[in-house]
Amino acid sequence: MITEILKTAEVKSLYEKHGSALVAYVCCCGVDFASAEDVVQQLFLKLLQGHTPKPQTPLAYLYRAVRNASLNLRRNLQREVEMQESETWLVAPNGHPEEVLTLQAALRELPEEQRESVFLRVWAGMTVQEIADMLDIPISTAASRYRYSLEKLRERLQLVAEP
Amino acid sequence: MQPHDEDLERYLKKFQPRAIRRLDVRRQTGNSWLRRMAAVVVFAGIISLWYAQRKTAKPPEKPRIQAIRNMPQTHMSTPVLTKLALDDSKAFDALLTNESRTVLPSMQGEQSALRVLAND
Repeated sequence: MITEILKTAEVKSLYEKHGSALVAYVCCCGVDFASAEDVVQQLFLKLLQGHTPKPQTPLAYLYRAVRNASLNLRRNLQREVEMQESETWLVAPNGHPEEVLTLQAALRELPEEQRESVFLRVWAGMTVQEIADMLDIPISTAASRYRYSLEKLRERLQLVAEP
Repeated sequence: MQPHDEDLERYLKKFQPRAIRRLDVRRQTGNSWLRRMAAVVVFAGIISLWYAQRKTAKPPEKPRIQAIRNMPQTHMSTPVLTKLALDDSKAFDALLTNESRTVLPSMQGEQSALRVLAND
């Protein structure tokens, strides 16, 4: 049986396209930015070595892999890593770090599974179905998690949804 | 999805993940290449050392063995010698005395049996 692997160009392209979002996702899982970068780099370097068979859905694979890696990292540290309060892993459109810190604080207050669902939907660009598949949960659960996370975020960000 | 959810989603999407460092492909491939080269060099070094040692450190044949190997062989076989010993003991003694002059190694030489035994 011939196992197909990701070509170097494909790996590089995936890194260019999703690398920063993956790092932000690992940060969102409660890992500092430098360690998150290392986690993502290691994953891609492993892919470049060609030991990993080509995944059917590369995006879901990448998020699942960094999720597991970040969980392992946190477990190895033997402590619950709190998201860094002053460290930014998002960039505001106007470049104001205060706005980013407010948003990150609001995300930090969400339960982990809700934070994860909003990240995967908004910044990873996954559909609710893809989120459900990736997290191995029913689609209704994924949808409700996302809905609740938006509600809570709206409250915290004090956004007026309707003009 | 509610319209206000879409607004919030749009708002959130304005935030972009922070830029990250480039994928350090060269370091990885360079490292693995260097590791392989180092492994080859070490392996070659071990092999050549082993070969050189094997060649030079070949133990010299022990002088005693050499001395025994240098002994001239007697022309008479064991049954003949046995028969002679039984039939004519005097002739047998004479033969042994004669043979001892030629068969036994010189006791004064550098490789003499006595010296070899004394060294051992």
